Amino acid sequence: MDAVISFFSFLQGLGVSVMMPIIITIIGACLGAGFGKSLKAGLTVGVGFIGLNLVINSLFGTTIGPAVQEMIHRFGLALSVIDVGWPAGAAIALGTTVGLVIIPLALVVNLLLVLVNFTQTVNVDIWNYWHYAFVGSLVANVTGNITFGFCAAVIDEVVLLVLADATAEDCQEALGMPGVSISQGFSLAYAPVAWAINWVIDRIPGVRDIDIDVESMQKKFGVFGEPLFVGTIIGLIIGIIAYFKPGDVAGSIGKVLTVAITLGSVLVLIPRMASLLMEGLLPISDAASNFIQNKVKNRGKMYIGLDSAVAVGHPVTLSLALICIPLMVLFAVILQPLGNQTLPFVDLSAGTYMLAVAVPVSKGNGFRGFIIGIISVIMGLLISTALAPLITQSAAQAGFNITKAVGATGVAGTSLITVLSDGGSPLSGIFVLLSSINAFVGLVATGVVAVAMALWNHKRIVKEAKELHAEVAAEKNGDQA
Amino acid sequence: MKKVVVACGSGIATSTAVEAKVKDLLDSNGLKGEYSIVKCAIGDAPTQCADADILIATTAAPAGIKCPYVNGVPFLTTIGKAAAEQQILDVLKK
Repeated sequence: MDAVISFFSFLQGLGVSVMMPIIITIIGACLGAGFGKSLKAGLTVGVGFIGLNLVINSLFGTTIGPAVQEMIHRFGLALSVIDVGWPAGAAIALGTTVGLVIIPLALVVNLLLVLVNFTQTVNVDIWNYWHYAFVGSLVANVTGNITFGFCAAVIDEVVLLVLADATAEDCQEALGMPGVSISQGFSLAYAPVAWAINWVIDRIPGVRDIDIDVESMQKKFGVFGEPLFVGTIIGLIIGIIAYFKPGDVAGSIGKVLTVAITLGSVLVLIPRMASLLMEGLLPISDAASNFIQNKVKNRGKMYIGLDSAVAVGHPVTLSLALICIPLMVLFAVILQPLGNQTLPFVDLSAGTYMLAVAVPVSKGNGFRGFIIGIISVIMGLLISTALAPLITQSAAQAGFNITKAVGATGVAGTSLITVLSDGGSPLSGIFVLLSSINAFVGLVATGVVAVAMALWNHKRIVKEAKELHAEVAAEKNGDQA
Repeated sequence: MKKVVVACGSGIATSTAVEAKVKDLLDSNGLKGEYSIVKCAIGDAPTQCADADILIATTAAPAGIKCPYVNGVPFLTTIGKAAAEQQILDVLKK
């Protein structure tokens, strides 16, 4: 084990933009994608990392960090933790030690779980394996022990695969896609939240019959939902709060507009860079999903696990996500006395993913979706504030030197970043909370829950298979009669 | 030049996967150089589709789309992929 860890520390020492191309090339070649193709894939991933690093380090460091700092100083705000968003979160997670091996590790775990009927979901969405690594790297940081990090990543995967199975029917019905389940780690983390809230609402007479039409709101917002506009408008607001001086309009307007344009650019550039990462991972993802689908052929009823991107098209989800954007900003401000320090930014649009599974689970009810949205936003802000030091630490491990970039303002306290989506997910919160009590407590508690969920799922799968056989047999008998 | 719009939730992950497969499909069917692909988030799709020939999305089609729509999920699951490919070729070879 020591030799393995020191090998990985050596790779880590090379820097993520060097190490990831090597790792991706090796994994690709092993999965049979061909050396040339794998090498190109690896190098493209390297490009993605370098690009993200440039955007995060220079734009955040030179313009956004100082502006946020100035804003905090002038008005005594507490919002000093900048949300860099899930695209950067994915890069951070994949660049940590846990992230290095997450693809082969999670693939093997998924395969084993399918073979013993602990899950019906074959998660072909290799890209989203980073969610497991994200939780794993946080636990590794909080416990100071990489082995606990690996265990947490695997436990997280088990929990998520069971949740994917449990929400599959609702998702299939809402989206009209038979045979799939949503296996993405962030959206699924809100399924238990949705179940709990629905359970409570179902028990309140009157309230349980409420539904509101949120779909018509989508058209009214229209263009303002686009990232470029959202970023520029938020930038304009931050710019005005930070730099606008009524006595010196001409002098301050330049600074204000620079912040506006820069924030708009970040919201366009970060997704572009993350998209390069995805492009690089594509041959690996194809090879891996072929590999796993071939291995589980001819089994009973299987679900193909997909990204929740396929679910965000639900009109209720889309509309509520737009409503969540101003809510995130509003709650970020009013929750300051309760300890919120997260300044929502790149993940302002993450409401879509927050609700992608929660809305189908709530049968598309707009009112319940709205309540779940509000509660999730509040939880997200508080958890992402609490997890910010750990996420910043993961980011540094993955070669994103946030402290250096943002700290260049020369003012202490600006050096934290967070990821409002995954860093604010209840699942990440629970893992970190339990692990911070004690490393073993975290491991045992989450492990026991995961095993219990897997056993429950096993029972359900076996029962379902029996019923399926009985039906087929009954049909045969019927034909004969 | 035909304009092909490929969309998913955020325009980052699944749309990249579908884009690559659609490119392979079109190139191997002799359409190389006759099309351009724009990748975007589903929220941007109505704007992008104003002058497009086809929308391939991994989500349901949003309201207000005038061009033909093909569901891109078969490219992710490989179930029903042949039918989806045929739909796309039918639209673009016209």
